[in-house]
Amino acid sequence: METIMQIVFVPIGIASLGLILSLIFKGIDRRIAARFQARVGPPLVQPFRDIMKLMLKETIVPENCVRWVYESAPIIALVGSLMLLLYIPMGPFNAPLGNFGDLILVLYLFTIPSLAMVAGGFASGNPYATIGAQREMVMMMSYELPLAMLAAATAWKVTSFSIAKISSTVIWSTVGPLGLVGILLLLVVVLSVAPAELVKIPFDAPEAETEIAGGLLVDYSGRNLALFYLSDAVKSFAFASLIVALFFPFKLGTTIWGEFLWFLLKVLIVMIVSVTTVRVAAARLQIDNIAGYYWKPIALVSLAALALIAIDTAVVI
Amino acid sequence: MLESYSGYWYPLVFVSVFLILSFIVYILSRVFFSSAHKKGEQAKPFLSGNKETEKVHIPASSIYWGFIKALRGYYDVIIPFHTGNINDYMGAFIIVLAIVLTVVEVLT
Amino acid sequence: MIKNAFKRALWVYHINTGGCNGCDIEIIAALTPRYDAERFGIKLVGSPRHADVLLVTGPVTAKMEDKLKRVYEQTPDPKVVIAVGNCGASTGVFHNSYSIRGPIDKIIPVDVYVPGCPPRPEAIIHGIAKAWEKLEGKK
Repeated sequence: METIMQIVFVPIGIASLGLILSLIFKGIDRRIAARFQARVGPPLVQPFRDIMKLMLKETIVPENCVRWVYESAPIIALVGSLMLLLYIPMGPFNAPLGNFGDLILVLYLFTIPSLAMVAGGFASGNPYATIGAQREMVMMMSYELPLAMLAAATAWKVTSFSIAKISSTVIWSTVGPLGLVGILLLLVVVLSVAPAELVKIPFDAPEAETEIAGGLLVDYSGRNLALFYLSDAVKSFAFASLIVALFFPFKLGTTIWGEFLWFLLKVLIVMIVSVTTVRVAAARLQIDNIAGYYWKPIALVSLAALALIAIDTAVVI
Repeated sequence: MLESYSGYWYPLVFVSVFLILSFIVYILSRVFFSSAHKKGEQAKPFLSGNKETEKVHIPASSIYWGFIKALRGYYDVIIPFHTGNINDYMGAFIIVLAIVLTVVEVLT
Repeated sequence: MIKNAFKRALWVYHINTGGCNGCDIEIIAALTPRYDAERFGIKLVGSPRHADVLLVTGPVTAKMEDKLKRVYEQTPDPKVVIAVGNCGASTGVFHNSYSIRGPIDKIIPVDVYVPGCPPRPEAIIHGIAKAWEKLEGKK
């Protein structure tokens, strides 16, 4: 009985709550981006209105698409994003499936929505979508290396891949001064991977709106578009929660709901710094510039961070 | 249950939660959203209004052109290196093996 | 509540059927911080499959005639067509030209006309807001 409770009801509850929270965060992100651009901006509930409007539109399925991939890719994208919320601890609440999956699984789960979008783009049977999908593939090939080095570094000092354990042993306290610089560099690396993971400007070449007419999503309408929109919002919230759980798990020491609000505030600050500010300040990069950016400077910085942590460990011992 | 020295994963739990959630998302998406009624040229691919012309075939290796262009320096060195001559490959193998063995010897 | 959803989340696709670009510049100006159409939920999208409102400018030239019809059919229902500018409403300065196939309503059904050469951005936003009333009537 307890496993049924854990496997069926708790995931459904957390998924619905996570959906609502992610859409609110997306609305806050749009409003703050508008304020940065000296505009007023849409109201905070605008993403809910977008989804409700998409419920009234009809869903057109293009005739030369691969039907089963085209229809199932949005569902897989949304379910992949929702599963992420079940493995990441949120403030005082432990992850419901936290004992059944570790950091490596979470990093692989982050690739599922992107891969589903790539599959959906290739299956759309439209040359614009093919271009968008190949750009997303190249981008994924580029930013996965820094993320892997991040996982290796955080798990190395804590000797376990379990996110709950990494959160409780605060990673800043396990290293000396050289290692602190290394972990700071890793934080910079993961904050620069965030816009590419979430396909936001300056790394939104796959979904370039005016350049390739909407990129990956060009032939999607109505229901499938709404599912991709939701999966994008949930992935932003999940990635920011992961950064907070790994790097800033500090607790305030108040009531449970106070702790949760403190966690949401930290997630909001991480999202504003890594996604919103960069989004309004930069222009879109070309895909070979993106691949060069992640393979040359960012990979070197994360290698340097790993080397600093290694030197720190050797010196201490 | 899959376990290594410091990592763990339960695939059965993952797959069952995935299937349950996707079933619920599928049912909800079919109930709340509407489908299209076929009319006219609605279902043609969007090509900025143009008709679909003859199909063009491009090689699949052109898909990651951005990646190759970004790492042009690396590719300019490594592609001429692959001469197809087995003696060159064996030479490279022996050199790298020698370096690795000396490094391991020095470190331990 | 769902019926009111269109009022505040209109997605707009812009197509130019051969005009002088004056109306296109005013449409883009309507999305800049000075007039800020996004506070009403109006967003410019890149593909007509995502759009509710087709903003059509220019008189329809011979080459754009069947492309305009195809884009109109590829937009999912319910949709609204707004003809921006004098050229769209009545071929404007290009009247009786050899390559013009007529004002827009000879090719696709138009719901809202925004006259002007070019119309002010406030007039364009007013036209898009009127489109909601048309959508309400279509459901």
